[in-house]
Amino acid sequence: MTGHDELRELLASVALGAATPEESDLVARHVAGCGDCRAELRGLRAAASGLALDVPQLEVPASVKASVMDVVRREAAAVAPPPVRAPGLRERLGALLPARAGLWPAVAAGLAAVVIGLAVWGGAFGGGGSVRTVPGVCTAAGVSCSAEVRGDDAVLRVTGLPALPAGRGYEVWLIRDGRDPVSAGFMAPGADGRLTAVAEGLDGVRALAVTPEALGNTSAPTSSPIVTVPLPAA
Amino acid sequence: MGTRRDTALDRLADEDLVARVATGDAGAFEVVYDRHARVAFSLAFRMLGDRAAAEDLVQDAFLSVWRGADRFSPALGSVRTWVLSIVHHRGIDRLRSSAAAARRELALQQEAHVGDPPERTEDRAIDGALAPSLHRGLDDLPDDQGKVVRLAYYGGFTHHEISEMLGLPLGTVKSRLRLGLERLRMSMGAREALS
Ligand SMILES: [Zn+2]
Repeated sequence: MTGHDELRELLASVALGAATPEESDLVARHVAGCGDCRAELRGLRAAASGLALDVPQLEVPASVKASVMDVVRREAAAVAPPPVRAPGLRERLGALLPARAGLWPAVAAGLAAVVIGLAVWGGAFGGGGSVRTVPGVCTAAGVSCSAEVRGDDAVLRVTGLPALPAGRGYEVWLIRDGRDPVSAGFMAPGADGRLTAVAEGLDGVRALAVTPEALGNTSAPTSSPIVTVPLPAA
Repeated sequence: MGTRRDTALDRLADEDLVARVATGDAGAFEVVYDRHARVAFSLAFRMLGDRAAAEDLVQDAFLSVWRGADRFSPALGSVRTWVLSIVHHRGIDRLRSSAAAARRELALQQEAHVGDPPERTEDRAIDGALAPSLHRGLDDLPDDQGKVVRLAYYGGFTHHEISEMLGLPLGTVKSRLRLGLERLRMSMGAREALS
């Protein structure tokens, strides 16, 4: 095992980038447990970065900033990067909901009243009452979504959904204040990527969300929603 | 572009900005970029000697600042040091790639002359052309220390390579790097104390 004194001699080389990768690894492991060397390395790194000020300072072309910011803004806008577990989903949905949505402790709410199904739906809720169309938020390219809401019922319409491999489907989630998302079942889009789902008895449901899931998962979403439609308060 | 600027962000310290960048705040990132891009680009150009390559390096480095902001720890140093060390590491990677080998060989020959004894005036001229310095510290180092520090930091050479190239024992190169860098640290500290 290489000791403190020997490694201390290497700190300047590491700070200047002149050590081999193996030596840098040795030093990294040593400083993790040696406060002395850690402080020394910190100071030497700062001194090394001072060398960047010791050269003529040049203006950076504006095009460099433009292309960096272009990527950054695009990535910042893509609400749903890679694998996020349910808490991430909850936070993201929370951001879309009215402020009082708050945190969502787990609950196994009885949802017998909610009926959701694939529908060829003619637009007739039957009975009276006004229908409002609310736009949704879609994070996948080419997907658009909205819901038509009347009272406690809604029709979720999604277009442009990509086909999923066998064994996977689109799961619809009901989002309520202060609760975990609850599955409302799996939907299969048509060959044209169109999905229409009718949900009834949505009292207290603040949003509908859709995630791609392995068929049979009904416990919790395993990724960020590709579709989220906030529902207006009744 | 052109929707600058949030003056509240401008008043934040670097460390607070980076904490916001880690949550995906593009506006905070833009302020970090504006503060450090110039010195990053200057270092990249000094290392690579080519504007297009330096621009490319700066883009890469700042995107990794954007994507890796959660890895920044104030305990390891300032944001500026962190940003510059990303630029520096990536610059070294490029210098050590095989495509750059030939140019590196040339730099090695040229740098070998930098800091030779003062009486060799033609070499002082090379020094001036190759490594213009703002006289902030490097020039105060004894030549034998300044040379190895330059070769390491700007040239991207390992201490093994420097030892081979200058025909010096490895231990001598290591201790010159250490003495040189410690002296730079002290003169930086003195400058900061005076400013
Ligand atoms: Zn130690």
